[in-house]
Amino acid sequence: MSEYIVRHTDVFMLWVGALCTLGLYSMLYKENRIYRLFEHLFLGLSTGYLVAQQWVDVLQPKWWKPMWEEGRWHFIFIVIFGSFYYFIFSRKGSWIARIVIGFFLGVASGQAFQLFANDTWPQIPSSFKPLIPHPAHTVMVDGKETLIKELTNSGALNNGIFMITVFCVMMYFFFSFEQKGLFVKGSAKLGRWLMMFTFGAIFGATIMARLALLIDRMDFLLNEFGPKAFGSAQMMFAILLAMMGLVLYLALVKDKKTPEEGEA
Amino acid sequence: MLEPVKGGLWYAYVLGSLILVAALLAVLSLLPRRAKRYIVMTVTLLGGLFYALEFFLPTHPMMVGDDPNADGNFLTPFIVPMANVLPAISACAVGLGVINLFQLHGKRALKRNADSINSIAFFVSCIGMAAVWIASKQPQASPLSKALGKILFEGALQNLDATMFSIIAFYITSAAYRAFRVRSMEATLLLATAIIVMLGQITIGQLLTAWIPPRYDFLHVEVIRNWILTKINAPATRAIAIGLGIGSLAVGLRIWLGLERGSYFDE
Repeated sequence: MSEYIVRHTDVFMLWVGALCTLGLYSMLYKENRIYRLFEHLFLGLSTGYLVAQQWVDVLQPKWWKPMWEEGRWHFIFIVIFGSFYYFIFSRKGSWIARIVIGFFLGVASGQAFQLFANDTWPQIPSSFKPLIPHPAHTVMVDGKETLIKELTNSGALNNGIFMITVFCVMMYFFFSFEQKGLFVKGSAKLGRWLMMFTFGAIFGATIMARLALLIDRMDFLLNEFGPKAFGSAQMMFAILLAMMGLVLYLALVKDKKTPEEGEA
Repeated sequence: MLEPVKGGLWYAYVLGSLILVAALLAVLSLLPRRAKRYIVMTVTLLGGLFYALEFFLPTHPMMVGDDPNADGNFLTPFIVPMANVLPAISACAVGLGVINLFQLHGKRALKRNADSINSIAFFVSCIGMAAVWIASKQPQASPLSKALGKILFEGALQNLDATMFSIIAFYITSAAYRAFRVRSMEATLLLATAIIVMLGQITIGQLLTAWIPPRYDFLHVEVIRNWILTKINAPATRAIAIGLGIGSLAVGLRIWLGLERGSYFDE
């Protein structure tokens, strides 16, 4: 049996993959038992993988091997400190869980200085861009000739839009004083409009990413699974069409017979 | 004292450490609530002190790791050991979520109703995946465990993951159809940008404006999309990131210094 599985791993992978894909897509008809079963399988597999990954990638190399194989006994304090988390289940000892949670809050706070200096701060000066158009020229910086690229009229205009956008969006989030007056209120309002471009772009990009996954799933069923399981992609396409037809039949004919909730 | 040891001495040290910590916790448990709060605040301060001091203390050229020309202070060489120890401590927390899920599905599985089979499927897949994945990653892993690991991870988990996220495409589209109405300036801008970004990314969308002569290529949908992404989306995202950075710094400082109030710190 084990040899059979090893020899036919790819076939098992294809069938398992196709069953999982179709099982979850059964949700597109309506909430059903098959979907719920595969949903729980997904939850179990993800949880199991997370636990195994934490052991294989983190705890085994960083804690177990140094402590058990290299004899560094003091690494026991890592897991003792980590076990403090589990006191959260005890009413009396829940304060012990706060020690380790507080420690990591402190670590995150300490790292916030470095994060701010390395990630956020450099973005502030780089948001100031040249606004006056100029031809390409060279300037001396620390005794070296440095080329300054040409800035066209449209480039200068774009730089202006960039700076105005940064300023207005920041102004929208500025709550240290009441947003009154034409300048403050107007720039905050413009900031809100400009943020809508961002949210629209994020929304569009999200839909495109999900649709790319959907196309990938169809590609898997038609071009990977279909030819190996049924001989050709066309056959798989016909089976998928038949399944969609069945779903349509169930949706249009069978559901008409059952009264809607609240109508009975 | 911290030298590696083997055999009986190792067990003695480990057992001694466990007893020592248990005794310390037992003594600390006797303290009043206010004192316990100060202990938590002190540990929070100490947790952040290392990274804060490493950042604020003056640096000088020194050997850090394999880099002889790096800058640092006396705390810099401990950055890498800390980066190894902290993930190991936080990895211990993964059991909290697992315990919660096991409690919930354990109760459901014992109820023996129609949903019990789903909770049993959860347990089987969770324990099976964890056991198979750990076994398949060991140096002496058998071909069977490697094959099962591949079937469960590449065959099941990756396909379930991709399918689950592709289903969201249907949900978003359906939700957007119901929710989006061009009633205000904000909604109009959002909807128009989303349409332009989507059309500009696909060939059929680009074909819609392909007839526009090259002289007016700034009217091509892919050019407009690119302009929106680089000249509006990028600075707006940057402004939000700057705000977030300043906010995180302020909140971090409050937590670190124990100034934050609320259920976590006051109880």
